[in-house]
Amino acid sequence: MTTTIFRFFRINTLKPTSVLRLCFIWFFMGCVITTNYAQQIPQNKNKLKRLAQQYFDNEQFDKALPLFLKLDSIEPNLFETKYYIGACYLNSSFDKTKGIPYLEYALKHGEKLLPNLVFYDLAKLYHLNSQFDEAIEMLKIFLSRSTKTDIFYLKAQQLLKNCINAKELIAQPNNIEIEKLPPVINTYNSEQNPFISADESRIFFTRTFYEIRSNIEFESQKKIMVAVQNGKSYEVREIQLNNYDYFKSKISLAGVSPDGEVLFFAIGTDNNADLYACKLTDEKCTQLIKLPDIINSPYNESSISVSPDGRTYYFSSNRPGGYGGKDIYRAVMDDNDQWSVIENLGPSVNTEFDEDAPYIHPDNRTLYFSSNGHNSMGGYDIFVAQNIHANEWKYPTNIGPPINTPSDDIGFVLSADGNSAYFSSSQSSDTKHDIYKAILHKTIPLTLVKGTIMGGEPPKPIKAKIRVIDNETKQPVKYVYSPNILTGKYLMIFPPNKNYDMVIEAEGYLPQLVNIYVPNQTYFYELYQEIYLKQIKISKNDSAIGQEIRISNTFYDVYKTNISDSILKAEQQKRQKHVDELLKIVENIIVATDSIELERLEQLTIKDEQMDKDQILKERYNQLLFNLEQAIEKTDSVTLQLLDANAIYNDVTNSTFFYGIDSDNRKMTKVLIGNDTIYTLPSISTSKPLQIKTPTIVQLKSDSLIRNIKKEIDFRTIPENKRRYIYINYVYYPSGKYQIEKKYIPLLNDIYQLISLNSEIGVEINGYTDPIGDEQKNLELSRLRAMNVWQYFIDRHLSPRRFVVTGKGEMGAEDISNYPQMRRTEIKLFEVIK
Amino acid sequence: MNRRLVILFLSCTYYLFAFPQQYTEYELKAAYLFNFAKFVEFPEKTFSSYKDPFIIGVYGNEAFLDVLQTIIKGRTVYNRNVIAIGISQPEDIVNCQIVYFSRITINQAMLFFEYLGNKPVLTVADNVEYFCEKGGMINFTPQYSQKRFEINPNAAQRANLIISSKLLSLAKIVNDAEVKF
Repeated sequence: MTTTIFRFFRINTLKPTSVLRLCFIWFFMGCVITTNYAQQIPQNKNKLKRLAQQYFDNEQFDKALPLFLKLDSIEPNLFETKYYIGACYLNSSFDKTKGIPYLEYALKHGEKLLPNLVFYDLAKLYHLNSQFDEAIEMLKIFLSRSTKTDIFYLKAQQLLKNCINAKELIAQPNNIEIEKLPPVINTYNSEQNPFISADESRIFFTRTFYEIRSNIEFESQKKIMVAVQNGKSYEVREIQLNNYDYFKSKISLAGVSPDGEVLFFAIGTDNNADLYACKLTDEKCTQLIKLPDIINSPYNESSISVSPDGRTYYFSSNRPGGYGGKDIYRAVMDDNDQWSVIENLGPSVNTEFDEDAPYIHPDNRTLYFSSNGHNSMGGYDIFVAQNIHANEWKYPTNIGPPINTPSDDIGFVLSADGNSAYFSSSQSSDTKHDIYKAILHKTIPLTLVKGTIMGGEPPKPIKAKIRVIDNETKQPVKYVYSPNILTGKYLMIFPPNKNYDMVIEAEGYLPQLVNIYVPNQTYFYELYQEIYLKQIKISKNDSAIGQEIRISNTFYDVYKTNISDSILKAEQQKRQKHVDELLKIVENIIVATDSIELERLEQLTIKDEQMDKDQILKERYNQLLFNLEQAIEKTDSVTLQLLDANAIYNDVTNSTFFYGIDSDNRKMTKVLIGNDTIYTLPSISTSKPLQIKTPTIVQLKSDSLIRNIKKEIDFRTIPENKRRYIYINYVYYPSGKYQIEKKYIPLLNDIYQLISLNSEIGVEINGYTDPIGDEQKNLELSRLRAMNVWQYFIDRHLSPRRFVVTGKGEMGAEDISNYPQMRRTEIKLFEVIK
Repeated sequence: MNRRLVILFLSCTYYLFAFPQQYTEYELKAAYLFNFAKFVEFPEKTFSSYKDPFIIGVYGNEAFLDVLQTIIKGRTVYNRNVIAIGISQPEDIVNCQIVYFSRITINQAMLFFEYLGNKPVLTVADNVEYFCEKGGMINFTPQYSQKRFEINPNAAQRANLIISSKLLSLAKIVNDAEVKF
């Protein structure tokens, strides 16, 4: 408020009577305060002028304003009145920017008579009204006409910087929507420091109450409130704090734990506030616990954010030893669960100005904070900084308008899905904050499939058409691009967590149906896919007897790679309002990527590969061969096992399937795409299980030594007393024969169906003969009988591990009439008794 | 118990330093294949001249052949250059010293055995069921098996190949006689 007092000294120096009038004002001060404040607007011009002047000089701008406006209507075109009106608006709680035309008029008609400061005042209003060019112009005039000793010189310089920053930031478009929370939350009082529970259903905030004493508004007390979402409306309640006396010291909400169960408070005076934690039960805080002394200092700690693992606390403090003003610090819990280290986040985050309200994103890498330094647009702005590693931070960026405004914007928290954010801003008045919600339209997780399709021997790009249908809606998926004939490359974009059917129609090959499952994800993924089609021929001149398709998928978590950075960056720069538009943009990127960027990337990777091959690969193999030789030399089986356990087995993703090309349509799967009906070979799934590989060489970790070994049960190793038989059937043979007769095929087929569908069933196949003939030969025959049945199942791609095959030989001497029953193979299905 | 844990831990850390890199299945198997050449003694008459290279034939897996060729590039066994070639039919294997079968059924493999007879060619298969039982020499077992490979020493003996005892002690020994029923 000193500024305004200073100001009226300045303006009153214009007139010689001013000093007398000042005395007069002070004399009447008491009268003014004790008078009834009902607005009685005097009709007399001089009386009106005098009263308005009195209010103005008493800094009651809200009351002076209507009087000056009245005066302006009685006696228009008086620049002096216009200036007063402008100054009133600037300092009032009304819409300040309404003062702009009045100051402009005053400046136009009385530039020489008005103080230099009017330029600064007008610049401030322009800045608030986001007219940054005009503000810069005014500030330049002000700075050229005032000396460096001027009290406003530094402030004007800062404002000029803010305006330039703002101009730059506004030039970057983004599609964030801002909405002010309803009046039940945003009252006449000030609402600040919003925090949300994980599901966004509760918003915690501090409400500062104001009361008017002696006609001047004072901050009376702060209360912690919670707004519970109920449908579209909110229900606001106060959080009860037991054993806390509101009147003894100030309290404000400092933070909320990531799960929303623990509240943090800053309690104390402005000079020494300390952080307390308290578990929330039934909207009551029962026991306040002071955070350790290493975090709380004799200075002001006012806000805190806890990392998702609970082992790092980020907090703001104005303790000495920082970079000036409030700085952001972090406390890291060591292995013994002690807070041993307090680190200042360093000069890339902290400036000579204030940094406050840290908020660490659940990814534990992204820190949001508020600062009035850096490239602020004015007042506090919200910034985001990325953690590089340990306590190293990338230079923060201003998250820009519309979240940041020329006023204070402070206390930014993100929802779990990253789509909405809450913050408080003093857009509408100087001191009082309101809570706003920002819809960021930020994370639209997509999967980008880049693939190549090749065919023949040696593999060459083939002409093919790819269509993709969403399994849920049965609609074709947009943004699928058939392969380029020259390169065989194709592209697809999928939203996550869905099943897709991909139909590949290649010239000279049967259509293939491939099932793709895109996992649920929150980041931008890239899937590299290679499809390789091959005709199977017995010799070179024969016609094809089958077709082989081989698909390899590799999911790269590109979020963590340079490629993703470039894509995400490009995506962010061109972010638009709706998903469709975003997809369109990604499409553009891909199109661009396809021609220029992709080539560049490929060149880069080729370069890398060459480096790999030339240097690293050689060393790698040298070491492998050396290790292996040493291991064999020393007959060290542990080393061999370790090498084996850590090898990446690629059979998981390489699915090879054979299908007879003459197979009739019954075996083909019917797929409807739009109006087309396509018969394809049976669907193959490439996605479960998906092997997720990281592009870099995976370093051995100790836990990877003890890998979770998941393998199918080897039923051959199950002892007989652990088998519970659930089914038995027989195949009979004429004397001396072991070939399966045709009449048993349906039976075997039924059994095949049963065991192929139930992986937990094992099969015992026992061959028998009658006692006629040589015993050794009969044993051989019984084995052949069993093997033949076994072969039937093996030919149908059942795992040999599931079969216990035995040739039992002769059945013992019995009545000759039973011999036909003895020439048989027993098929017994069993479960494992656990 | 504690001492055991410490030893386990120490051995783990030792291997951590010993094997900082992870290899693919093919790289590992190619490395094995190369080492088999070193640990198997071939009869003198195998090579007609001292210039003859040591040839490894690969059946049924070109991807593996690529990896193998990268690994053996510029290396020697018994002072001979090692080369790898792709094979598709029994006639191709006459000049090979090692034949590696991948993605083959046992019946197909037996066609090769018949053609080979007792020629000194080391037959190796990638996880083919009953490979050794039916007359193959070395067969890789599935991942996480207790032994990395199985060896049929009788089959090797018939072909006048001497497999190192070191290799044998690391393998699961399989005999022809033992028909797996």
